[in-house]
Amino acid sequence: MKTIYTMLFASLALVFAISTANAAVLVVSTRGEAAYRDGAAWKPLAKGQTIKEGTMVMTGVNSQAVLNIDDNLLTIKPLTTIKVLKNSLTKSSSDNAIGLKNGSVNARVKRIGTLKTRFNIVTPVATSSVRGTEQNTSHGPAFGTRIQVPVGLVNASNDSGVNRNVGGRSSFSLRPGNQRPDPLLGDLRNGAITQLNPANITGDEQAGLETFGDQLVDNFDDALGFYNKNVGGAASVKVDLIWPNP
Amino acid sequence: MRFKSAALLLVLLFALPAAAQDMANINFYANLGDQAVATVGDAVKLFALSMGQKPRDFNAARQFLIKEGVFPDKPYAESDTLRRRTAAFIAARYLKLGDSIMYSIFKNERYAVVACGANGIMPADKSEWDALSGAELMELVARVAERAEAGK
Repeated sequence: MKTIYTMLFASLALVFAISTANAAVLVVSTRGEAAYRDGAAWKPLAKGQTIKEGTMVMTGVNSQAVLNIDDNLLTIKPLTTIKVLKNSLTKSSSDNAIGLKNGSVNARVKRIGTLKTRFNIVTPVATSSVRGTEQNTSHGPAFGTRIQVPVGLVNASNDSGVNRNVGGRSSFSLRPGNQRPDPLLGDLRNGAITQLNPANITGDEQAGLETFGDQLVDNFDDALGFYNKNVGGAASVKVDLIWPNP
Repeated sequence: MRFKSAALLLVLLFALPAAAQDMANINFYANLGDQAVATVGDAVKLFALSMGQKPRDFNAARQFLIKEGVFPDKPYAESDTLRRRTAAFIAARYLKLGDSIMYSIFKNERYAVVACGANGIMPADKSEWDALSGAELMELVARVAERAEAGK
Protein backbone atom coordinates (compact mmCIF):
# COMPACT_ATOMS: atom_id res chain seq x y z
CA MET A 1 0.00 0.00 0.00
CA LYS A 2 2.83 2.36 0.98
CA THR A 3 4.61 1.65 -2.32
CA ILE A 4 1.47 2.53 -4.29
CA TYR A 5 1.13 5.87 -2.46
CA THR A 6 4.83 6.64 -3.05
CA MET A 7 4.52 5.88 -6.78
CA LEU A 8 1.33 7.94 -7.04
CA PHE A 9 2.98 10.91 -5.30
CA ALA A 10 6.08 10.64 -7.52
CA SER A 11 3.93 10.55 -10.69
CA LEU A 12 1.94 13.59 -9.59
CA ALA A 13 5.14 15.49 -8.75
CA LEU A 14 6.56 14.62 -12.19
CA VAL A 15 3.40 15.75 -13.99
CA PHE A 16 3.39 19.00 -11.99
CA ALA A 17 7.09 19.63 -12.70
CA ILE A 18 6.63 19.09 -16.44
CA SER A 19 3.57 21.35 -16.62
CA THR A 20 5.27 24.28 -14.85
CA ALA A 21 8.70 24.10 -16.52
CA ASN A 22 8.04 26.76 -19.17
CA ALA A 23 4.76 28.30 -18.12
CA ALA A 24 4.54 31.94 -17.08
CA VAL A 25 0.77 32.32 -16.80
CA LEU A 26 -0.28 31.59 -13.25
CA VAL A 27 -3.85 31.57 -11.97
CA VAL A 28 -3.79 33.91 -8.97
CA SER A 29 -7.43 33.54 -7.97
CA THR A 30 -10.83 32.47 -9.22
CA ARG A 31 -14.36 33.26 -8.13
CA GLY A 32 -17.51 31.48 -9.25
CA GLU A 33 -17.37 29.66 -12.56
CA ALA A 34 -14.00 29.88 -14.30
CA ALA A 35 -12.80 27.32 -16.80
CA TYR A 36 -10.06 26.69 -19.34
CA ARG A 37 -10.28 24.75 -22.54
CA ASP A 38 -8.32 21.56 -22.71
CA GLY A 39 -8.76 20.02 -26.16
CA ALA A 40 -12.48 20.00 -26.85
CA ALA A 41 -13.52 20.06 -23.20
CA TRP A 42 -13.84 22.85 -20.65
CA LYS A 43 -12.27 22.13 -17.27
CA PRO A 44 -12.44 24.07 -13.98
CA LEU A 45 -9.70 26.64 -13.51
CA ALA A 46 -8.02 26.48 -10.09
CA LYS A 47 -5.92 28.89 -8.06
CA GLY A 48 -2.21 28.09 -8.37
CA GLN A 49 -2.63 26.38 -11.73
CA THR A 50 -0.45 27.36 -14.68
CA ILE A 51 -1.77 27.61 -18.22
CA LYS A 52 0.07 27.53 -21.52
CA GLU A 53 0.16 29.78 -24.56
CA GLY A 54 -2.86 29.05 -26.75
CA THR A 55 -5.20 28.27 -23.85
CA MET A 56 -8.72 29.70 -23.78
CA VAL A 57 -10.21 30.86 -20.48
CA MET A 58 -13.86 31.59 -19.81
CA THR A 59 -15.78 33.00 -16.85
CA GLY A 60 -19.47 32.69 -16.03
CA VAL A 61 -21.99 35.07 -14.48
CA ASN A 62 -20.85 36.80 -11.26
CA SER A 63 -17.45 35.17 -11.74
CA GLN A 64 -13.89 36.29 -12.35
CA ALA A 65 -10.35 34.96 -12.68
CA VAL A 66 -7.06 36.75 -12.10
CA LEU A 67 -3.99 35.68 -14.06
CA ASN A 68 -0.38 36.62 -13.40
CA ILE A 69 1.31 36.90 -16.79
CA ASP A 70 5.05 37.56 -16.40
CA ASP A 71 4.32 39.61 -13.26
CA ASN A 72 1.50 41.56 -14.95
CA LEU A 73 -2.04 41.11 -13.66
CA LEU A 74 -4.99 40.35 -15.91
CA THR A 75 -8.45 40.29 -14.33
CA ILE A 76 -11.01 38.46 -16.43
CA LYS A 77 -14.45 39.84 -15.64
CA PRO A 78 -17.83 38.00 -15.78
CA LEU A 79 -19.05 36.37 -19.01
CA THR A 80 -15.72 36.81 -20.76
CA THR A 81 -13.76 34.57 -23.09
CA ILE A 82 -10.04 35.16 -23.70
CA LYS A 83 -7.17 33.29 -25.28
CA VAL A 84 -3.50 33.57 -24.35
CA LEU A 85 -2.19 34.27 -27.85
CA LYS A 86 1.43 34.88 -26.90
CA ASN A 87 3.46 34.43 -23.75
CA SER A 88 7.18 34.81 -24.12
CA LEU A 89 9.78 35.94 -21.63
CA THR A 90 13.52 36.32 -22.23
CA LYS A 91 16.26 38.11 -20.30
CA SER A 92 15.73 41.26 -22.33
CA SER A 93 12.03 41.22 -23.22
CA SER A 94 8.55 40.22 -22.17
CA ASP A 95 6.10 39.74 -25.03
CA ASN A 96 2.46 38.93 -24.33
CA ALA A 97 -0.77 39.09 -26.29
CA ILE A 98 -4.26 38.33 -25.04
CA GLY A 99 -7.13 37.74 -27.45
CA LEU A 100 -10.45 39.08 -26.12
CA LYS A 101 -13.30 37.30 -27.90
CA ASN A 102 -16.08 38.83 -25.83
CA GLY A 103 -16.51 40.35 -22.39
CA SER A 104 -14.13 42.60 -20.50
CA VAL A 105 -10.72 42.51 -18.85
CA ASN A 106 -8.59 44.75 -16.68
CA ALA A 107 -4.83 44.69 -17.32
CA ARG A 108 -2.18 46.12 -15.00
CA VAL A 109 1.17 46.08 -16.72
CA LYS A 110 4.37 46.93 -14.85
CA ARG A 111 7.35 48.68 -16.32
CA ILE A 112 10.25 46.55 -15.12
CA GLY A 113 13.66 48.26 -15.37
CA THR A 114 15.21 47.84 -18.79
CA LEU A 115 13.06 44.85 -19.72
CA LYS A 116 11.41 45.53 -23.05
CA THR A 117 7.74 44.90 -22.29
CA ARG A 118 4.99 44.37 -24.81
CA PHE A 119 1.49 43.52 -23.61
CA ASN A 120 -1.20 43.62 -26.27
CA ILE A 121 -4.92 43.06 -25.88
CA VAL A 122 -6.37 42.04 -29.20
CA THR A 123 -10.09 42.18 -30.01
CA PRO A 124 -11.63 41.27 -33.38
CA VAL A 125 -11.50 44.95 -34.44
CA ALA A 126 -8.63 46.65 -32.56
CA THR A 127 -5.42 46.11 -30.63
CA SER A 128 -4.34 48.02 -27.55
CA SER A 129 -0.75 48.14 -26.44
CA VAL A 130 -0.16 48.57 -22.72
CA ARG A 131 3.10 49.78 -21.14
CA GLY A 132 3.39 50.63 -17.48
CA THR A 133 -0.34 51.25 -17.31
CA GLU A 134 -3.72 49.98 -16.29
CA GLN A 135 -6.52 49.60 -18.80
CA ASN A 136 -10.06 48.27 -19.01
CA THR A 137 -10.94 46.73 -22.35
CA SER A 138 -14.28 45.31 -23.38
CA HIS A 139 -15.59 43.84 -26.59
CA GLY A 140 -19.03 42.70 -27.67
CA PRO A 141 -21.22 42.59 -30.77
CA ALA A 142 -23.50 45.44 -29.64
CA PHE A 143 -21.00 48.08 -28.51
CA GLY A 144 -17.81 46.90 -30.22
CA THR A 145 -14.46 47.58 -28.58
CA ARG A 146 -14.10 50.05 -25.70
CA ILE A 147 -10.86 50.98 -23.96
CA GLN A 148 -10.57 53.10 -20.83
CA VAL A 149 -7.26 53.88 -19.18
CA PRO A 150 -7.40 54.79 -15.47
CA VAL A 151 -3.59 54.98 -15.20
CA GLY A 152 -1.04 55.84 -17.91
CA LEU A 153 -1.36 55.91 -21.65
CA VAL A 154 -2.42 53.19 -24.10
CA ASN A 155 -2.09 53.03 -27.86
CA ALA A 156 -5.14 51.69 -29.72
CA SER A 157 -4.85 50.72 -33.38
CA ASN A 158 -6.31 48.50 -36.06
CA ASP A 159 -5.77 47.37 -39.65
CA SER A 160 -7.90 50.24 -41.02
CA GLY A 161 -5.27 52.80 -40.09
CA VAL A 162 -6.76 53.83 -36.77
CA ASN A 163 -4.05 54.85 -34.30
CA ARG A 164 -4.99 56.68 -31.09
CA ASN A 165 -3.34 57.32 -27.77
CA VAL A 166 -5.87 56.90 -24.97
CA GLY A 167 -5.46 58.13 -21.41
CA GLY A 168 -6.89 60.33 -18.70
CA ARG A 169 -10.57 61.06 -19.21
CA SER A 170 -10.60 60.01 -22.85
CA SER A 171 -11.86 56.62 -23.98
CA PHE A 172 -11.61 54.64 -27.20
CA SER A 173 -14.85 53.30 -28.66
CA LEU A 174 -15.01 51.52 -32.00
CA ARG A 175 -18.57 50.44 -32.72
CA PRO A 176 -19.52 47.49 -34.94
CA GLY A 177 -19.60 48.39 -38.62
CA ASN A 178 -17.64 51.63 -38.12
CA GLN A 179 -14.21 52.13 -39.63
CA ARG A 180 -13.36 55.05 -37.37
CA PRO A 181 -13.71 55.26 -33.60
CA ASP A 182 -15.97 57.72 -31.78
CA PRO A 183 -14.28 60.95 -30.64
CA LEU A 184 -11.92 60.19 -27.75
CA LEU A 185 -13.70 62.72 -25.55
CA GLY A 186 -17.17 61.57 -26.68
CA ASP A 187 -18.15 60.19 -23.27
CA LEU A 188 -17.14 63.43 -21.60
CA ARG A 189 -19.03 65.48 -24.16
CA ASN A 190 -22.19 63.36 -23.93
CA GLY A 191 -22.14 63.67 -20.16
CA ALA A 192 -21.71 67.43 -20.22
CA ILE A 193 -24.03 68.60 -22.99
CA THR A 194 -27.79 68.24 -22.71
CA GLN A 195 -29.61 67.30 -25.87
CA LEU A 196 -32.31 69.83 -26.69
CA ASN A 197 -35.28 69.45 -29.00
CA PRO A 198 -37.45 72.16 -30.57
CA ALA A 199 -39.81 73.88 -28.15
CA ASN A 200 -37.57 73.07 -25.19
CA ILE A 201 -39.01 69.60 -24.70
CA THR A 202 -37.12 66.41 -24.01
CA GLY A 203 -36.84 63.51 -26.45
CA ASP A 204 -39.34 61.54 -24.39
CA GLU A 205 -41.85 64.38 -24.37
CA GLN A 206 -41.50 64.83 -28.11
CA ALA A 207 -42.00 61.10 -28.72
CA GLY A 208 -45.01 61.12 -26.45
CA LEU A 209 -46.59 64.10 -28.12
CA GLU A 210 -46.01 62.69 -31.59
CA THR A 211 -47.64 59.41 -30.57
CA PHE A 212 -50.45 60.58 -28.29
CA GLY A 213 -50.47 64.34 -28.69
CA ASP A 214 -54.08 64.66 -29.86
CA GLN A 215 -55.25 62.54 -26.93
CA LEU A 216 -53.19 64.36 -24.33
CA VAL A 217 -53.96 67.92 -25.39
CA ASP A 218 -57.60 68.72 -26.21
CA ASN A 219 -58.66 71.30 -28.81
CA PHE A 220 -55.29 71.58 -30.52
CA ASP A 221 -54.79 70.11 -33.95
CA ASP A 222 -51.04 70.38 -33.63
CA ALA A 223 -49.89 69.37 -30.17
CA LEU A 224 -46.29 70.48 -30.73
CA GLY A 225 -47.57 73.78 -32.04
CA PHE A 226 -49.19 74.33 -28.66
CA TYR A 227 -45.78 74.24 -27.05
CA ASN A 228 -44.22 76.38 -29.77
CA LYS A 229 -46.84 79.07 -29.24
CA ASN A 230 -45.89 79.30 -25.59
CA VAL A 231 -42.13 79.59 -26.07
CA GLY A 232 -41.83 83.17 -27.34
CA GLY A 233 -42.90 86.39 -25.63
CA ALA A 234 -41.60 89.36 -23.68
CA ALA A 235 -40.35 89.19 -20.13
CA SER A 236 -38.81 91.70 -17.77
CA VAL A 237 -35.69 90.91 -15.83
CA LYS A 238 -34.47 92.95 -12.89
CA VAL A 239 -30.68 93.06 -12.62
CA ASP A 240 -28.79 94.53 -9.66
CA LEU A 241 -25.20 95.32 -10.53
CA ILE A 242 -22.94 95.45 -7.51
CA TRP A 243 -19.50 96.90 -8.16
CA PRO A 244 -16.66 95.96 -5.83
CA ASN A 245 -15.37 98.77 -3.59
CA PRO A 246 -12.12 100.30 -4.88
CA MET B 1 -9.03 2.96 7.39
CA ARG B 2 -12.39 1.77 6.02
CA PHE B 3 -14.16 4.65 7.75
CA LYS B 4 -11.73 7.17 6.19
CA SER B 5 -12.19 5.66 2.71
CA ALA B 6 -15.98 5.75 3.07
CA ALA B 7 -15.84 9.40 4.21
CA LEU B 8 -13.60 10.30 1.26
CA LEU B 9 -15.99 8.54 -1.14
CA LEU B 10 -18.95 10.45 0.31
CA VAL B 11 -17.13 13.77 -0.07
CA LEU B 12 -16.35 12.91 -3.70
CA LEU B 13 -19.93 11.86 -4.36
CA PHE B 14 -21.21 15.20 -3.08
CA ALA B 15 -18.52 17.26 -4.82
CA LEU B 16 -18.85 15.70 -8.28
CA PRO B 17 -22.42 16.90 -9.09
CA ALA B 18 -21.47 20.45 -8.03
CA ALA B 19 -18.46 20.45 -10.36
CA ALA B 20 -20.56 18.93 -13.14
CA GLN B 21 -23.16 21.68 -12.65
CA ASP B 22 -20.49 24.38 -13.03
CA MET B 23 -19.15 22.79 -16.20
CA ALA B 24 -22.70 22.45 -17.54
CA ASN B 25 -23.08 26.20 -17.14
CA ILE B 26 -19.69 26.84 -18.77
CA ASN B 27 -20.72 24.68 -21.72
CA PHE B 28 -23.98 26.65 -21.87
CA TYR B 29 -22.04 29.95 -22.03
CA ALA B 30 -19.63 28.56 -24.64
CA ASN B 31 -22.45 27.36 -26.89
CA LEU B 32 -24.47 30.52 -26.36
CA GLY B 33 -21.53 32.71 -27.42
CA ASP B 34 -21.53 30.99 -30.81
CA GLN B 35 -25.32 31.04 -31.38
CA ALA B 36 -26.46 33.31 -34.21
CA VAL B 37 -29.89 33.66 -32.61
CA ALA B 38 -30.63 33.37 -28.90
CA THR B 39 -33.93 32.05 -27.55
CA VAL B 40 -36.21 33.25 -24.77
CA GLY B 41 -35.09 30.13 -22.88
CA ASP B 42 -31.44 31.27 -23.09
CA ALA B 43 -32.32 34.73 -21.76
CA VAL B 44 -34.44 33.38 -18.93
CA LYS B 45 -31.71 30.97 -17.86
CA LEU B 46 -28.89 33.53 -18.10
CA PHE B 47 -30.77 36.22 -16.16
CA ALA B 48 -31.84 33.69 -13.51
CA LEU B 49 -28.21 32.54 -13.13
CA SER B 50 -27.02 36.13 -12.85
CA MET B 51 -29.58 36.65 -10.07
CA GLY B 52 -27.98 33.80 -8.12
CA GLN B 53 -30.52 31.11 -9.03
CA LYS B 54 -29.79 27.60 -10.25
CA PRO B 55 -33.04 26.92 -12.12
CA ARG B 56 -33.86 23.28 -12.80
CA ASP B 57 -35.71 24.07 -16.04
CA PHE B 58 -37.24 26.85 -18.17
CA ASN B 59 -40.54 27.01 -16.32
CA ALA B 60 -38.87 27.27 -12.92
CA ALA B 61 -36.61 30.08 -14.14
CA ARG B 62 -39.51 31.86 -15.86
CA GLN B 63 -41.69 31.66 -12.77
CA PHE B 64 -38.83 33.03 -10.67
CA LEU B 65 -38.39 36.01 -13.00
CA ILE B 66 -42.15 36.68 -13.14
CA LYS B 67 -42.28 36.55 -9.33
CA GLU B 68 -39.41 39.04 -9.19
CA GLY B 69 -41.37 41.27 -11.57
CA VAL B 70 -38.71 41.25 -14.28
CA PHE B 71 -40.32 39.05 -16.95
CA PRO B 72 -43.45 39.84 -18.97
CA ASP B 73 -46.32 37.61 -17.89
CA LYS B 74 -46.98 36.41 -21.43
CA PRO B 75 -47.04 32.88 -22.85
CA TYR B 76 -43.48 32.84 -24.18
CA ALA B 77 -42.13 29.43 -25.16
CA GLU B 78 -38.57 28.36 -24.38
CA SER B 79 -37.70 28.09 -28.08
CA ASP B 80 -39.12 31.48 -29.09
CA THR B 81 -36.61 33.79 -30.77
CA LEU B 82 -35.31 36.38 -28.33
CA ARG B 83 -36.26 39.88 -29.50
CA ARG B 84 -34.54 43.03 -28.28
CA ARG B 85 -37.82 44.19 -26.69
CA THR B 86 -38.09 41.14 -24.41
CA ALA B 87 -34.44 41.30 -23.33
CA ALA B 88 -34.81 45.06 -22.75
CA PHE B 89 -37.88 44.50 -20.59
CA ILE B 90 -35.99 42.10 -18.31
CA ALA B 91 -32.99 44.45 -18.13
CA ALA B 92 -35.08 47.57 -17.47
CA ARG B 93 -37.18 45.94 -14.76
CA TYR B 94 -34.15 44.35 -13.10
CA LEU B 95 -32.30 47.67 -13.00
CA LYS B 96 -35.49 49.56 -12.10
CA LEU B 97 -34.87 52.06 -14.89
CA GLY B 98 -37.35 54.89 -14.66
CA ASP B 99 -35.95 57.98 -16.29
CA SER B 100 -37.97 57.59 -19.47
CA ILE B 101 -41.42 59.14 -19.20
CA MET B 102 -42.99 56.76 -21.69
CA TYR B 103 -41.46 53.73 -19.96
CA SER B 104 -42.47 54.94 -16.52
CA ILE B 105 -46.07 55.32 -17.75
CA PHE B 106 -46.47 52.17 -19.78
CA LYS B 107 -43.73 49.84 -18.48
CA ASN B 108 -44.02 47.73 -21.60
CA GLU B 109 -41.44 46.06 -23.80
CA ARG B 110 -41.46 48.78 -26.45
CA TYR B 111 -40.47 51.59 -24.12
CA ALA B 112 -38.06 49.35 -22.22
CA VAL B 113 -35.93 49.40 -25.40
CA VAL B 114 -35.91 53.21 -25.28
CA ALA B 115 -35.08 53.21 -21.57
CA CYS B 116 -32.20 50.76 -22.10
CA GLY B 117 -30.91 52.85 -25.03
CA ALA B 118 -31.03 56.05 -22.98
CA ASN B 119 -29.11 54.39 -20.16
CA GLY B 120 -26.38 52.89 -22.35
CA ILE B 121 -27.47 49.33 -21.65
CA MET B 122 -28.29 48.70 -25.31
CA PRO B 123 -27.47 50.59 -28.51
CA ALA B 124 -30.06 53.34 -28.89
CA ASP B 125 -30.46 53.03 -32.66
CA LYS B 126 -31.69 49.44 -33.01
CA SER B 127 -35.14 48.02 -33.64
CA GLU B 128 -37.18 46.49 -30.84
CA TRP B 129 -37.92 43.55 -33.15
CA ASP B 130 -34.27 42.64 -33.82
CA ALA B 131 -33.39 39.06 -32.96
CA LEU B 132 -30.49 39.00 -30.49
CA SER B 133 -27.51 36.71 -30.96
CA GLY B 134 -26.13 34.67 -28.09
CA ALA B 135 -23.08 36.95 -27.82
CA GLU B 136 -25.34 40.04 -27.72
CA LEU B 137 -27.35 38.48 -24.90
CA MET B 138 -24.16 37.74 -22.95
CA GLU B 139 -22.94 41.30 -23.47
CA LEU B 140 -26.28 42.65 -22.25
CA VAL B 141 -26.34 40.48 -19.13
CA ALA B 142 -22.73 41.43 -18.32
CA ARG B 143 -23.60 45.14 -18.64
CA VAL B 144 -26.72 44.76 -16.53
CA ALA B 145 -24.81 42.89 -13.82
CA GLU B 146 -22.05 45.52 -13.83
CA ARG B 147 -24.61 48.34 -13.56
CA ALA B 148 -26.47 46.52 -10.77
CA GLU B 149 -23.19 45.99 -8.90
CA ALA B 150 -22.22 49.65 -9.30
CA GLY B 151 -25.63 50.74 -8.00
CA LYS B 152 -25.36 48.78 -4.75
